[in-house]
Amino acid sequence: MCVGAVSYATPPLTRAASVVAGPTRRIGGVLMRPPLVPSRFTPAHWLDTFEAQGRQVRGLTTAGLVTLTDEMVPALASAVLARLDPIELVKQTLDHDQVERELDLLVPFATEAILSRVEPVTLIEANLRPEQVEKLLDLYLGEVTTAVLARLDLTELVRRHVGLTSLTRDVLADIDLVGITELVIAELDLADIAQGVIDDIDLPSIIRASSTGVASDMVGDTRQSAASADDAVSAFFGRLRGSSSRDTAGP
Amino acid sequence: MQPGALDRHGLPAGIVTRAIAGAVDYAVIAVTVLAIHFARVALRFLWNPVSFHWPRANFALMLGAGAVLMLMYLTVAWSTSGRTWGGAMMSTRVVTPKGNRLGLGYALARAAFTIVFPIGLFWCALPERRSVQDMVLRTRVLYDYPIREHHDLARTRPEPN
Repeated sequence: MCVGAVSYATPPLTRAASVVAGPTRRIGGVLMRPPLVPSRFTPAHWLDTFEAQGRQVRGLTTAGLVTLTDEMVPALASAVLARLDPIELVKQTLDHDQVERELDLLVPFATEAILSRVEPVTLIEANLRPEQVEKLLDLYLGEVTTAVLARLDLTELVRRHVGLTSLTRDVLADIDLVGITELVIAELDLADIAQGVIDDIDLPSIIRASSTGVASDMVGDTRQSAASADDAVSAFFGRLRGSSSRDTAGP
Repeated sequence: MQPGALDRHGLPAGIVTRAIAGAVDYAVIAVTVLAIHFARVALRFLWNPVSFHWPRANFALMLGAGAVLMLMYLTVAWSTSGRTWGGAMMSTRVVTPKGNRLGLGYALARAAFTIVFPIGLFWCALPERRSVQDMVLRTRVLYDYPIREHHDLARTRPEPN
């Protein structure tokens, strides 16, 4: 209703104001600068003076306020912080989930931005100290090695990449086999070992069997040789008798 | 075993085989006689060690003892298994004309004949392979390989086509 009333009343009022504005402006001009009055005594001059004075005062006030603020704010902040535990305050007011979400969004960008500006290897080489490396190795070397070994087939790797024949040859060339053998012999009680072997393998029965075999072979060979000689002797005497019977028989 | 040995099984043994077997038998008897002699010397020593002196060997006595031992040895061997130790080593056996083992009297006669006329052995060098004793007493001395050798030979012998 009010809006309607205002909208209804505005145009006539506007017209009225426009009619009245002209004469009013002329009247005001005369009043501000009356004719025949020196300018420094006119209301316009007084208003101008007041405006300039106000502007100057406002400038000075602003500067003073800024200076005062610069001095007061740190002191106020120190006083406030001295009475509060910022960390506790952060803990109480901080939303961890929100922080995590923000970090999840920010960290990749930050990391990419950092890595695009920094050479990681150079950075690590420049900043990683030997004792830090030692500590890292002490902490993680076992686990890393175990994980690597679990994924590799060492046997296949060695078989494929290691020249075992030449390696063995080199190893044998470097080691003192004679010395090692002498050392082994000196450490071992060969007599006991030999006795144990003899007891376990029933050496007497083996010797007996081999001796029997040798003796049997010898006797068998003797028999065969004698039988062959029998044939030869019989044949000889047979030929001899045959030729002698032809001789006695005559032509 | 060499090829051809199985073929000789049951055939008359020749002079070389029988001579080696005889030599082994004579060696057995000689060792036995010597052992008896040494046993006698040892007994004499044990009986009276103070006045012991090594007895002089009587060759004729030892020869006679050897002959008696040989007689007993041949008789027992031929009448029981048909082979002496020498015969066992050379795989020969003394049998009757029918191939059987000699009886006791038969073996004794042959043994006596062998001891009295040992040179008669060399008559078996002829192709008939019979010594004088064999011809007179109608015995035979044959190759007689042991059962195991016989079977080994049978296994190794090539199959006839």
